[in-house]
Amino acid sequence: MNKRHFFTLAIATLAVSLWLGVAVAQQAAPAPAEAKAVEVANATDAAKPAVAPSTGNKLADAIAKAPHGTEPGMIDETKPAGFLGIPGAPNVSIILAFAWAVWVGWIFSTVGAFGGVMAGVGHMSVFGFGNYAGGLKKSAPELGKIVTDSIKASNQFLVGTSAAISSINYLKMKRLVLPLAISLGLGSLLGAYGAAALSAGKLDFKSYQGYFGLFVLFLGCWLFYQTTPGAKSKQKTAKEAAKAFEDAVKKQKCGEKVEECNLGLKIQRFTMATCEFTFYGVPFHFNPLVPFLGGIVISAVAAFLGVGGGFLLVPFLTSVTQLPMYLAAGTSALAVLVSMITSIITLISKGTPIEWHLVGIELIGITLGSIVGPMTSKYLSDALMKRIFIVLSLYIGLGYSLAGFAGIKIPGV
Amino acid sequence: MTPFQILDAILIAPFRLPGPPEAGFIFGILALAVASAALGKAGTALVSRVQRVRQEREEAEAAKRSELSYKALRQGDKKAYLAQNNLAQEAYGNTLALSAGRGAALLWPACGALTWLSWRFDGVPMPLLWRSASPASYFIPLFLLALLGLHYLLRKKNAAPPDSPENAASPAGETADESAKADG
Repeated sequence: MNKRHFFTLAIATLAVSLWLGVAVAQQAAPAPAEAKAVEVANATDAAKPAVAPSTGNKLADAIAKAPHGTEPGMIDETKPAGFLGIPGAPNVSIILAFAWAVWVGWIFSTVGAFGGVMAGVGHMSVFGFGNYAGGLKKSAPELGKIVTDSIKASNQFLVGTSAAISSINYLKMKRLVLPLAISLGLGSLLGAYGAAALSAGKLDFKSYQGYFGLFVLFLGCWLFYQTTPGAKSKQKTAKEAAKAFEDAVKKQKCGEKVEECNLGLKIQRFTMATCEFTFYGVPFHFNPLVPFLGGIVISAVAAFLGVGGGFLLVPFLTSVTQLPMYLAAGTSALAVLVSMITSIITLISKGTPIEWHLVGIELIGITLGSIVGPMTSKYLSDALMKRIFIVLSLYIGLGYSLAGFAGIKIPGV
Repeated sequence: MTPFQILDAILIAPFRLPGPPEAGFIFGILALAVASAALGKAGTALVSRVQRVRQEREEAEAAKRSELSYKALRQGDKKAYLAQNNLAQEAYGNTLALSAGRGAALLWPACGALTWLSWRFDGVPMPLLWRSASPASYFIPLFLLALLGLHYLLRKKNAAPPDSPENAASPAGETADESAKADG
């Protein structure tokens, strides 16, 4: 069995095990098969099925428990159903959702990963779900937490699943450090499951907004640091070293033969404390515990915030293990997939409702935005765009952190 | 008849095939998963076509920096290796962000199908599954399997003999990988 088959089998086994695990865990007094068959038959025959009174539906139970009335924080039955079918919840215009998603897709294809932040901003601020969930904190905390989980899951679907799917290309390259992939994959599994299972139904919107804000603020500070003279000097030195080497390579005569036995990756030694391998004949080593712990932390953060972890895992692997980029990307792809499968299955199994039509419309918008992006990017200055997004991320990060942790609102956030 | 009613009539048709309702339900959801996967694949192909220039540029940059980092490794120049590897990683980050559009194109039909399924089967216990299972519990694994199946079918169809010119036109990433190997 080659590595490709091994990993396909491993991922399939993981997905099926989690799925069956959820099935067994939630198997409680199933209805008789005949009754189920009749209900399925009714649903397929009727023009639209009648909504059965829900007993195991978390959302319906939370709505029933919430106070009903016209005051803020109450379920207003006189108003039309909005987000997740909750009466009185914000009802997002399809045009607004689509337009915002085009913007997110445009950012993804021109500026980069900041599109993920913008997807979150859309759900929390632009569509008004954040204010609504925040308003339920005291009057209907259970419902507020369900709405928060749904916002988080929607972010994850827009950002994380796309990143996970694109990671498959790197997984297909078969450049994996097997022990590292196992260590990182196990860590990711634990981190993603732990974060999704522990936070589902327990995280109120204000806390989520605060942590999301801290993450964006950190991103903004990092982007800002990249523009400082110190960082620029380091980048310049690195680029000069890269350029000097590139020039030296060009001057070298072609046809240099390399011993076949030195090609590729060779694991020399693997114990609980160290993994030694050579790549192109150059020795590397790392402590397997480090990627395991890194996998836990990064996947937990990604699952907790509803973002993809790929953009964090690759820099982590290249900096901690000093692995070549393709090896880091290929190895992290497996961890990203494991993490995404785990957190999505966990969220769904915990009964987190997802507004599929909204996510679908947003995905169409992101698709269109990513088509338009490359056509328009040539008219824009990269440096200017970077500065604009640094300011935006600092403002949004600060705004969300203050609103989430201190209850201080700044305009526009 | 409204457009939605027409779409609903088309989507429900496979669910009403003769036989036990449970079998009809599973067949219908399988047909929906395969159709969504096919539509998603077509959307991805469209986005890839539009993004090709930028995508190839970023992937070529990542591949070039990666190759140079391997050369630095072979020559034992660790400083040059780290510098080239850092630049390769930056280019990789750009390709990852760029691929979000392709991922979205692949997934939107599944979300459309899930919207319809939720509307159609809301509150109906899922055959053979646990009490709180929803149509998504069936649809998502089947959609993933359909994607995998289509991927293998398309790859088989596009596979050319080793010496044919088509074989050279592999995706940029794989080309980079192979060329890196050749360089080595």
